[in-house]
Amino acid sequence: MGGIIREGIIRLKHGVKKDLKDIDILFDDLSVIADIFGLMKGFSGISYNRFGNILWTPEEGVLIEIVPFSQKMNFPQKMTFEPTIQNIISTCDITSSAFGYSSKRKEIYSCGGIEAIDSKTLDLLKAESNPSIVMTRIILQHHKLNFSIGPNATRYIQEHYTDSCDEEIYRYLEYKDNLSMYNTVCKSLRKLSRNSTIGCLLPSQTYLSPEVSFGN
Amino acid sequence: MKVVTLTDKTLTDAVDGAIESSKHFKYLNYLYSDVLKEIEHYYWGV
Repeated sequence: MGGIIREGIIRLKHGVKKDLKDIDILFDDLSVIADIFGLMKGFSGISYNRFGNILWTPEEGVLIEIVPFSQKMNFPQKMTFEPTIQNIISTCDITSSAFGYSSKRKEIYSCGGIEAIDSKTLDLLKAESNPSIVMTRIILQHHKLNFSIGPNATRYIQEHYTDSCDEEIYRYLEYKDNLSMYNTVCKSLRKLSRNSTIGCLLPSQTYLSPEVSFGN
Repeated sequence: MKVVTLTDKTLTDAVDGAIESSKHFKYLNYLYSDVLKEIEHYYWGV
């Protein structure tokens, strides 16, 4: 969640413009019968991710991910409450991702996202996925947005990061086609896990390293 | 932390602007007219 909505609000509040690779669209497949998978069968550039979501790449550098409510309601764990956009956003792991938008209703849904942009500080909301993935996402967003890392996220990293996480981090970044960030993520996590200072900002340039090593 | 709903026009215009200026926009329009018209509730960016 987040992407294009966060981008629009960051542009408004901080005047920073970044190119987006992907836009996600969530649709309600629980209250209506809609064969969106069938409707998109003839499109070129269609593939599916490990959750069965539609990935549409109509041209190079443009990715549109189409996610049904039913997938969001079952991952990372099965939710038993009403499938609403608000409830789905409440499951986001990081404040800076916790956004949704209905262009029909002209409504933005935020769970700490606006505060994250205002303060340029991202923080942990919930950690229901694998800790290595949650920590990797925190560091990736920290470097992408150049936001500080808040106290809950810092504490989470200090409690969960060990060198043994590196293998899962490698696999996750490989899956996300973002292995160039492997050394940066591991070094940032190592530094944060050993640093008692909360909310320290790590300039991404410090960690740029071309080689990818495993388990260091 | 609670989910809040924001309808401030400055914010929604900023989001619309980001969507409309993206390389994705023409394809999103295509999706809207060909696929999403079947769906009552859908959300960008989520």
